[in-house]
Amino acid sequence: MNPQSSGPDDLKSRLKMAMQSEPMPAHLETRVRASLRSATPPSEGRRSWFWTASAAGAMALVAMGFFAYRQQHYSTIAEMTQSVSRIVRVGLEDHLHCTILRHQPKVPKPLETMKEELGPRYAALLPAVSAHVPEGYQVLDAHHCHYRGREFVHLVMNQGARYVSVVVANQQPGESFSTEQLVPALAHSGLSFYQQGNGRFRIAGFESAKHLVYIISDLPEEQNRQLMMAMGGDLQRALPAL
Amino acid sequence: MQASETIDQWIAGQTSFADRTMSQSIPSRERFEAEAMPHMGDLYRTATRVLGERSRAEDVVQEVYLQAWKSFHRFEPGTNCRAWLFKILFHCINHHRRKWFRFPVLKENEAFLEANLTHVEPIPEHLTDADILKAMDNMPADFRSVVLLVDVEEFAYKDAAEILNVPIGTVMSRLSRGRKILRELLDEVAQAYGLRAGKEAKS
Repeated sequence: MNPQSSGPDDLKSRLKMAMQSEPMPAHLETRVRASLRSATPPSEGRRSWFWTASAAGAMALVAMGFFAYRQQHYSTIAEMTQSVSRIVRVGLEDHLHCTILRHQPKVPKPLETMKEELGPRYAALLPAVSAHVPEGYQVLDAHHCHYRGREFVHLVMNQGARYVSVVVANQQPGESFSTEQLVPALAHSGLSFYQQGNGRFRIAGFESAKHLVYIISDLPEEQNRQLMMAMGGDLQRALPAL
Repeated sequence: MQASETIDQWIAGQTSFADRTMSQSIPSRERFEAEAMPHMGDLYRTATRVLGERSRAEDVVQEVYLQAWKSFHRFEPGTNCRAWLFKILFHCINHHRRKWFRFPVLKENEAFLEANLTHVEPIPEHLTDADILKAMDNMPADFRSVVLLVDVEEFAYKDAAEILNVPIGTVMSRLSRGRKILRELLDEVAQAYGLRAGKEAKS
């Protein structure tokens, strides 16, 4: 180096030489690499957190929406069934839940599909109902459904937006039209038929050894009762004995 | 950087250097290492000179790499990774400086230094690297940082201004004064060694 050089380049070169004279510790790179290995990959953590939080939020919203909808559904049905007796309410609740408050298929399900959905144990109900379909109506659907933990066999007939349900429920211990102190509306084919109305809906019912059977419609009271009288015997025979 | 702002938040909010063209893809560790690791030596040496302590310099360099890795998804290949790392380095240092120690900021002496350090002495050839580093350590921190960035690391004034978050004019004036201070300090060392006569003798 020229001892008389005095410009910035002289200073810079001496500074650089001096700085380079201090080596980086050999362990530093190892230490840094080790800490990087244990660190969360960039943005991945934030992104996964974001998506997890979003998914959780969406699920919470869906759950809240579903819960609110279900509560509204329950309260609507409870309000619509409060004026009927408890045993009649069983069938009416399923009719309201499954037929009135849910969207029904626009075209009837194929017969084979309905048979399959009913299953061999209840498939005989389909011809029993089909034989007595009110004029202008059609068998729209037949299936098993649930309301508040209870299973129903449900056959639906319709004429446009007017529906008739045949609802069958397994009789639970202590459940009987007679214990509700209902007076049979009439007796026919060895069966006692009970009848109640609830504003728009007419409910006729009978019980077999193991089942409660309801016909629920917005037909006139007399027409609904006649439908039950016509259908009752065949329904009872179609129901499984056990 | 706000007092309540963490280094993570500060880096996430940066729009300079790497963030000018942001990549949304998740980078690989291999790419990060290829881009960032070659600068570790420069970062360490600068940190050592600024902090004056090797163990703290190691801690800070490790922190710089962790912070850089966390925000590397914002880094676009081809932009100035080195400048970006140095900016993180100085922010890490500033973040910890209150906790660790007080820098001697000699702003009140700037006028005095400007008035008195007018004579440019050649750097004596016989000064050792240790003498030069020791002189640098004795510089006021603000001047030392600018000299390190511009004269040693060869950053442009504009990049040094971004790294230190000061106006470019401040970089230029600090560099000028810093060089004079350093020459003066080196001259004192040279006088102590008997390599050069004192100012009184010369005049």
